[in-house]
Amino acid sequence: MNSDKPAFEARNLSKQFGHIEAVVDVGVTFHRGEITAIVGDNGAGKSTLVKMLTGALRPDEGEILLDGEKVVLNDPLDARRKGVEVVYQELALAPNLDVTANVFLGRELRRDGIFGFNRLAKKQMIESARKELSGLSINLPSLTGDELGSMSGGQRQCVAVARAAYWASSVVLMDEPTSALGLRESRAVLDLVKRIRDSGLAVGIISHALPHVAELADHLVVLRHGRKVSDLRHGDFSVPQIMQLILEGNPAATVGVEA
Amino acid sequence: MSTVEPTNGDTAQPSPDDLSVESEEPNRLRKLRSSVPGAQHFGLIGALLGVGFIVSRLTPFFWGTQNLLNVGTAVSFTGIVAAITTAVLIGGGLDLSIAAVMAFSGAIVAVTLDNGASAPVAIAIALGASALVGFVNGVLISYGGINAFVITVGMQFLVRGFAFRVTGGRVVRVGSSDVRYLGQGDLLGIPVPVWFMLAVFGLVGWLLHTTVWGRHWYAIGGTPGGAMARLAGIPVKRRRLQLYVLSSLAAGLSGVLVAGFTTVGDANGLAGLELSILAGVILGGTALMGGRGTVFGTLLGVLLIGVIDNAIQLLNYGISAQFLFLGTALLLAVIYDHIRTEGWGKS
Repeated sequence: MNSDKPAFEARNLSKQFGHIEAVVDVGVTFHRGEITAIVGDNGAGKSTLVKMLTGALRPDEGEILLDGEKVVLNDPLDARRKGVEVVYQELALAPNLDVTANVFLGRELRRDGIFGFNRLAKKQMIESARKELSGLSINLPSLTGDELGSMSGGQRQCVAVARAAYWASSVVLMDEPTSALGLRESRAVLDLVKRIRDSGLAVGIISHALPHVAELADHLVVLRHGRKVSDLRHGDFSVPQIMQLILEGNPAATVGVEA
Repeated sequence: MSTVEPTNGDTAQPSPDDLSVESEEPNRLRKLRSSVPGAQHFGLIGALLGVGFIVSRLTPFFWGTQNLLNVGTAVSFTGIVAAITTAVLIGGGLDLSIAAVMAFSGAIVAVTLDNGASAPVAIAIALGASALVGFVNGVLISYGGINAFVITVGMQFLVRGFAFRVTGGRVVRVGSSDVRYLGQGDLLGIPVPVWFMLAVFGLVGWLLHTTVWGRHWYAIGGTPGGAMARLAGIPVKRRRLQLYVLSSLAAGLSGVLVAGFTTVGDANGLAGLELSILAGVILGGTALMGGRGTVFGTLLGVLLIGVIDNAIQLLNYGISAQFLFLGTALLLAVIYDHIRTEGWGKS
């Protein structure tokens, strides 16, 4: 499923905070139809890297490319407009609104005509939300009327992920998509992430849940002390192997490093 | 509201990872509530009918057409402001400067008329000045990030001060028959202020439920500080600013109507009215913490307060009864709101 040109790519990104080198010369590629997992211990530079990928931080050096074109991501909204969707750990959902309202939160479809700038196209949004959710085989008790806050953590996570998939044109980045979820709920979210990959988007996950990483990742990027120590693809990653890479950055294990 | 299941198509076979298991326990009450519009207001409607029944047994004057129209007029001055206060609370905000803005606006109308301005010009100046107050509130609260309580209480004193400056401390007579008509006249047998109130309730209800602004107000109030709404890309600051401008504008409008009704502009008037307005809104089921509420509930809340106020006057129970009632109603509403949203004993 790996096409030649990455949908989303970071080249030689570096970021310094004072004297601390948070990220040094890191490159990552995200291909359509592939799940790229970024792992590393606390302080390895994951969150700084992700913030640069989502426009929340400007890199000191390096460049970001979307479908091979150099882009500047001014802020997360700008990144979103350019096709980079992020699923935040805190989900960015409104618990007091229904599923449909959340799928379109901040990007409501509007009606035509006078006052159209301000009028919600409710039917259209319900229809689109239903299509998107059933296309991803997400089964929720209701799409309208019931507050999202009345649903389970897994259901909410699925709504957040489905929303990102709905809006993304290139890549969906997910920060700890299974943290705070039970076993069965994690299962559902993991399968949903795979379906999104199979729909032809590039997917990036940042996670500490190594069994989940081992299961999902088609492409593994390991950070250590702000530097990329491994970049493995097409491997069957095992949890002990990933753990060793994170803790020791074992260069012997870096088979198939990208040029 | 219809309940749409995404499983109708053949694409969504119930799969092992299907999450619907999580919600197997059917919450019938919640289902009932969400399927019957306004069902959450049954309690209030019952209270209103009950109070109406009791009062009508105690005094024969209550059900008189004229008395009911009087209640409507009295309620409309607070109702106009309460409608938009509903939206302010839903958006996680608070505006305590509303009563002062009402007095300020009435003072401006009276004084500009006194200085020879025509009614439309006087009203336009009053509304413009009111909107400006809301704009300053909104900028300080949403762009400056300063606590709404502190800003609007401060603004309340400032605005009263301006009102006293404008009137020179006098109670200024409103001579204009046009402005008086707005407060005292009637149209098709219904007092003009009641028409205004219905229009404002309709407008705010329309904004809340069919427009992008309303959707955003609910989203902003749904999480503390509007944090999630910001992450979702909602222009939180601009939406909040809108609310404070609308709040002051409604207060300004109500102030003009009050000036027409009382035929005076009084810088000292309407003190404390903001709490009675808030009481109506909270009684109507709008959450103090934001994110929840309807204008229909608010309409019932202000009507309930208006009816009981009226009964206290008809029965000659005196001012103490009015305060006792308002205090009790406000406390009960806040306690109920707290238990409903957070639970007893939890902060």
